[in-house]
Amino acid sequence: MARVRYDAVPGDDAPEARSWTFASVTNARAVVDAARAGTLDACVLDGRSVVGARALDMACYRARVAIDRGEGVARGAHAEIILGLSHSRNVGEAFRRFGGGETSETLVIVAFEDASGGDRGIEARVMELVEGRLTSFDDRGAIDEASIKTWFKIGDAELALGGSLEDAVLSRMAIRDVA
Amino acid sequence: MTTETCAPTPALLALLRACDGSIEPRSQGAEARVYDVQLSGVECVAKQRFAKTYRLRELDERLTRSRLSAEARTMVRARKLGVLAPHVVHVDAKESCVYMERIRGCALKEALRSGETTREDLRRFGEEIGVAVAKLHDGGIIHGDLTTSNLMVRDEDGRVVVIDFGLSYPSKLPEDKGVDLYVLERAITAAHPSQTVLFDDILAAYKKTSQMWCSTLNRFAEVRARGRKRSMVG
Repeated sequence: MARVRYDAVPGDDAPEARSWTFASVTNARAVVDAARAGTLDACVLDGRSVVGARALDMACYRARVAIDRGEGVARGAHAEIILGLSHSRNVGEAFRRFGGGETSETLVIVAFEDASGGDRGIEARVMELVEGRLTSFDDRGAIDEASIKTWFKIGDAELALGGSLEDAVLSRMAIRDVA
Repeated sequence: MTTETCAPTPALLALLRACDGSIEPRSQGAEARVYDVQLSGVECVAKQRFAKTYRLRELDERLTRSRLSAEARTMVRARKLGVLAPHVVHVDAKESCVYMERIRGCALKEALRSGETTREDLRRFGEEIGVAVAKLHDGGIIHGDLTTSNLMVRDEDGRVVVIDFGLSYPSKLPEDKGVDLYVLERAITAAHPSQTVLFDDILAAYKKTSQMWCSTLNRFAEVRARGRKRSMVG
């Protein structure tokens, strides 16, 4: 089965985050509603807005650190992941841009494991709930590059330096709390 | 300074242990220690500023935080302006640590001292540095510590990367730009007396690239005549 595991905070007892990517999703609204209602304990992302695996990885890391330190500002660890992907501290804006929406066709669902490494039954719940084709994160299809460039204010001069769009996005995410 | 203030903080320590277990810094300066780490699969250097116990704690925390923020923001702004600088991967304000891309290469200082630099290499370095400094200055950024140790020659393509924005600040004043250039000139003449032609190439590229070269170079001439610090007499 295609499943991507991400290290969150490294260390012997550090919980990891798991993600499942679905393409051709037909019931995005139901999935998002389930996450909102708390019946799906995971974060639901729009696959077109997530620039890459490293960005998602960093968002998980930042969410974990924020929760561990008691500095989280969103509703929980999973909402914190969505906020971690953003360059702004506005939670609502982060959900609009990076969260799954009614019309999303590609969904990335991320959930932290529990302390013992179990997935709290999330995988079974995800498989039961999402109507779509399970795929690997890298095969999720095209990202919304134009919108990402606009949101993160990334210009051609920066991209001409040879770094990737993901590098530029990572740097904007990184300075969010000191900007 | 106590050893406690210099030890890596918890999140950095966890990352160091997850890499190879070594918690020894790669280098240490007056304000920070630099470690090699891997964060989310990216090879990074972590620059952690340490507490100065001779300063009032509140003042030290405020200064450290503002310098950390300024450094991270300036690196991002520099890249936005098209200046080759390491990209920022993560900023941990609580632990006074900035994680940035690891540049594989050597300091320009070492490259110049190796004796293998040709006149053509010098011309290319001069051109790249002049363009980078002009872009920074036109974008309102003063690097504050332009020396050949803070310019790296990247292994993969031989391009010059500007590093260490720890003393950088925003300014559009010709005086600040002039002093920035003067510091670079002094660094080159002091450390590489036989390669001062590099600075001529830098100035030529600066003049070609900067839209405000005239006021900056006029002020640079004044700074050169009087020295970096203004006279406070009278």
